[in-house]
Amino acid sequence: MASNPACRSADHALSRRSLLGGLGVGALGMCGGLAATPGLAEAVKSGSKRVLVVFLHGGVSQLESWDPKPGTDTGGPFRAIPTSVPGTHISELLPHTATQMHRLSIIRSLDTKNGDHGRGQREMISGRDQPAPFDYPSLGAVVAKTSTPTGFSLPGHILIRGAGTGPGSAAYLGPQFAGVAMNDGKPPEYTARPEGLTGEADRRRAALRSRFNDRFAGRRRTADTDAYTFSYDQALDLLDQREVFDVTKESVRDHDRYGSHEFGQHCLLARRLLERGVPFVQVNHSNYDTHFENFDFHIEQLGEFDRPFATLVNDLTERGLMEDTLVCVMSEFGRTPRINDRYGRDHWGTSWSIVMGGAGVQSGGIIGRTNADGTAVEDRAVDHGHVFHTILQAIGVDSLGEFHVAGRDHPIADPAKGPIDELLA
Amino acid sequence: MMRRCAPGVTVVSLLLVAGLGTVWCAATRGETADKLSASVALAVAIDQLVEQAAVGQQAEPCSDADFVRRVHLDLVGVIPTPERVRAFLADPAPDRRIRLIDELMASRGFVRQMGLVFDAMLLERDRPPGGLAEPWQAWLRDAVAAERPLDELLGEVVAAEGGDPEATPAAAFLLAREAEPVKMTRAVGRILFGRDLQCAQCHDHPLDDDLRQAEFHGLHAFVKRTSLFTSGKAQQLSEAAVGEVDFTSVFTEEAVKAAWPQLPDGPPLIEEPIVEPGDGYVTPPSKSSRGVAEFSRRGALAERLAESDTFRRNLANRLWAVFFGQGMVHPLDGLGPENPASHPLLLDCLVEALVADDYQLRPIVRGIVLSSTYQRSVEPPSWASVDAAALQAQLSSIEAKQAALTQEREPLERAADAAEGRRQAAYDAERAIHVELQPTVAARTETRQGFNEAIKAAAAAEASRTTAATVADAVEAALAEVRRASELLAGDAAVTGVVATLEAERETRAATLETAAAAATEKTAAKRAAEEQLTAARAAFAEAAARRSPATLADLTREAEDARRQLVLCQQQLDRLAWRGELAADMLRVPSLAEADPPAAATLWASVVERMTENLQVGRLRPLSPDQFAFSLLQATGGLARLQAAAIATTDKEPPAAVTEAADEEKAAAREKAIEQAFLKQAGSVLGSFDALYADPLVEGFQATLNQALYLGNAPQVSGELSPSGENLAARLLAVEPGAAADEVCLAMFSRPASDDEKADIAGFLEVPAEQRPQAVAELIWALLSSSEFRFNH
Repeated sequence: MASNPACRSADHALSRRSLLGGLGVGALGMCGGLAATPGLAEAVKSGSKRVLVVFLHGGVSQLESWDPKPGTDTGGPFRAIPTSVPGTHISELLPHTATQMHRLSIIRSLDTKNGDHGRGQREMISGRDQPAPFDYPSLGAVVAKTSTPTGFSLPGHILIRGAGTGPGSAAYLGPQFAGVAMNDGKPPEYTARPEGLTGEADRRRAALRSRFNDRFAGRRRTADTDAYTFSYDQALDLLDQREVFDVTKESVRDHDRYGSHEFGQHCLLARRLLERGVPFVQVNHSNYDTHFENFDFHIEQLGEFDRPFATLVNDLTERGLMEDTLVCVMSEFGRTPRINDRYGRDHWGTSWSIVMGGAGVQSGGIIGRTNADGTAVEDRAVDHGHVFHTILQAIGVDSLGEFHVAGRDHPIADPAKGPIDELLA
Repeated sequence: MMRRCAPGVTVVSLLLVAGLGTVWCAATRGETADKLSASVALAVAIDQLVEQAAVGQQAEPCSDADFVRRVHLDLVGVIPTPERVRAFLADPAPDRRIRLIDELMASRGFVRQMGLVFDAMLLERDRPPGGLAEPWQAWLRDAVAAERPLDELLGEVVAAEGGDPEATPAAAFLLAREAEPVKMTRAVGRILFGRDLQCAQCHDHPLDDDLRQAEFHGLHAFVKRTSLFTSGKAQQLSEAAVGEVDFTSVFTEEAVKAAWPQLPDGPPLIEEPIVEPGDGYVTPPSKSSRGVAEFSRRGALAERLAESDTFRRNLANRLWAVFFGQGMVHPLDGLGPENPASHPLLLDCLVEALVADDYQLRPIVRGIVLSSTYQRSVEPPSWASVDAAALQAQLSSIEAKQAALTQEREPLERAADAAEGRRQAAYDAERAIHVELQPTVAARTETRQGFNEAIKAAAAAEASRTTAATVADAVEAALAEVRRASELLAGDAAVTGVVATLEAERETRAATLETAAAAATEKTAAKRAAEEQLTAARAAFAEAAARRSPATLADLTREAEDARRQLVLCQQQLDRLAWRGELAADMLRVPSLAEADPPAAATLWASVVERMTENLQVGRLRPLSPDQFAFSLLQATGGLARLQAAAIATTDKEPPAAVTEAADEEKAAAREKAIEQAFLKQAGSVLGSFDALYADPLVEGFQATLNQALYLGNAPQVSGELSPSGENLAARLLAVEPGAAADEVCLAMFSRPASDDEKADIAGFLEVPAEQRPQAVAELIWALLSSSEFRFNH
């Protein structure tokens, strides 16, 4: 049998041990009081890396973005422009991003064998083949589980998006790691005190709560009771830092640089969250499902995407965050090289591209190659499984390891796949 | 109750346990069986087996205050009211705990709580599609109320025909898995057999055992023919009469065609009706209707459930977990020889009780909650209580038992291997016949297809012949008439011409008829030939099939399983003895370590306490389930009484049809049921929030999340319950002096009076100017609400 209920993973043991260390002493009556909670500042310095995913919903066209094929039957009307990496060209729809390409790498050889939106979103964000009907945790849940610093009191997995789509599932990792939504960029639910409750009153009732907890701990204290009491301390901490969620606190100049439209605001908010050490932030941008008028729509959508994204990559670099923030621009799939009779492109999972950078991954590179008209991968075919391994290994997570949850073992990433080593070299 | 392999049980205590077992079996089998005394015997047996396995001390019995809260949460899903607590604590009768248990188990709350328990067990907080949640939960409650045997209930869950979902709510179990065969297989494997076979299906665990792949596909075959049928918004189950599971072993690369439906520990279903084209359906599946097969493989699964020891063991383990927060086998879907139960003999005992009580829920629940093991305190003994001499003696006795068991193990292993060899040989032989049968099955399909076509062709030819004959007759008749006219009109040229035409026509028609008749004869002969071919194909099949001997394989399977079970029981006891030996050794290390390195001693003792808890010597602190938490919050603050009153008012103001149309003698029961439904509807929004935020402890383990703390701290649904209204807790606390508030709030929230220390603390907290008291009271209630003592069952 694969699962070994007696086995404990390093990370599990670590988090439990840090709680149990204090616990044993208390249980023996040799030392009173609960274990001290490390302060936030200390936590952010702990060196954990972070992940930013920009998810282009609907399926961005690789031909109008990262893998242009000008002058071919499938290439469409746009030119390819040079970038900050000599020899690397991307679509002319991304002039600002072109100046940042030395900080990013393009993977031009995704073959994910799927053209279904729901499945593509699930597969890209969980790194697993999902026709097999098992629920796997999303990337954000895995990152929150593995990379949240001890004592960190903000949510570890934040989704910034327009309202509507479902939250990032944590599956067997449990609700602690599920995505916390900032719908339309608004703060997460219940992060404002109810009317009439002042901060002072909140702290007063929290102190009383602690006294009841201390009395009960005298009867029985477990890792569960410690985790429970800690969650309220964390909530209290979070309310004190509520401004983290308030993008209006950023400077007027930054608002100008990112733009006042939704995606610009969300990118600025993402920067704010990453600066505060949030381990996983995902920004969604819609809608790239261009079955007709593909070219007009891409002018519009990528026109909105280009500047804020380039600004964000630039800012993360200038602020020293890019070194330990893995940035990935992905989609559920690409679009057909063939242009349909409504000037549209349809769903295409056979040969498409994503972009990745930061956290020490190879920058300025191009992984894989498609053929002349972009209809097939010619070299280095990879899929969601490889991308998932690569992202996790880039932030220092052993993606070949296992989670041990409630007595069961779960491989962290698809054991049949591995990382794209060239990017990690 | 023979235990061939019972270490930790001295001869005397073995007799004692056996004697109790006899009493209890006799009690349950007797015509006037008193199930209640059977429960007492079960409780005694539980305690005996736990005591025999205990290492060092056991925790004290829990206090009455802990007990009243614990049984309320477990039996009716909500903490008691303060009045109830007061009355119970004041009751001097020695049988007060038993009476409380019986009273709670007879209440509507027990039905509701068990309904929720089975909902969580079977759907694991998945939601069934469409509007199925309510009928499904009502169906579960009705099943509990009607005391339906659990094997029958679970059988219906897998066999549910799944037409109109409102009419067959049991289909929710499979519909929640989208009727997708792999999902259904996994759910059946995990939830009904305690076996997670996920890795057996795919490549996640290449080191996994070959047998598990076969086990997976054995269950897969039972549900393979089932699929989702969507009609408008309604989702229904459709079942085909044909459809086989083929797979390739990842180890031997052997292709397995038409895997037999098979339970994890049962004989394969060898003799299924062979369905020839055109047969096998009550309703064939089509675009407009779901398929209903004459022979349902899911039905066959349902019939076999209770034959499976794995099924029974899983059910017993899952019921146990409801009352102890963790199964004896942990995780709940980790049942298997490599993962021993904490108390292998106790799990066996529980399984026997379940079978002896005809899978009735109440006797086993009653037995569990009556036991001292269930009523143990959560407060662990202190390390100072370690009795080194006694532990040393226990260690020696453990070693002696290990030695004895090791001796017993060898013959058991030989017997198990031999029995397995016989089973395997018979299995392989049957499999070889099965493989040989496949062409004859194909031949039956093919010849039946031919026969079906020949029938059609013969019928068509016969129809042509009949038409030709009719035409020929008509021409003949017309000719006769015209001839008569011709005779009468002798020599009329026109008529003579017609006669000539008709005579020619008669010749043609006669020829046509002859051809058609010949064709009909030929097609009929062809039909006969096809029928003969079919008969021959059936005979060939029957001849080959006659060589099968499923009964022999079934017997050998049973023997092999029995032998394996004895070996596994022995091995698991050995595993647990080793585990207990280690625990005893660690306990012995604590006193000296405490002098040399106190923090290390503390850590070690914490781990000892965890293990004593697993060993059932100390009560487990169990997080409330989302619904226990939501109901208890409402009960404590006074919101529950408000919802109940509203449910009664709504029901009586506009009684639903179920009440108005009920016969007079059934009106009261129907009203009660309608009130329950109205109440659950009213409570729905709070329950929904908790369900979304809080993990189910048995499904997902304990999880304390930031979102939960934010919700409890800031959600209007919670803060709204903290302000005075009617006779709610806040109003009652405002009505009394600060000195009296402590007991009131502790009784309401913690089901116990306040300690002196708390009285002082609370009085001080409430000592504020009158206008600030409502705020202080709200803070006080919240502080208790968010404390560990409220969050956990203790």
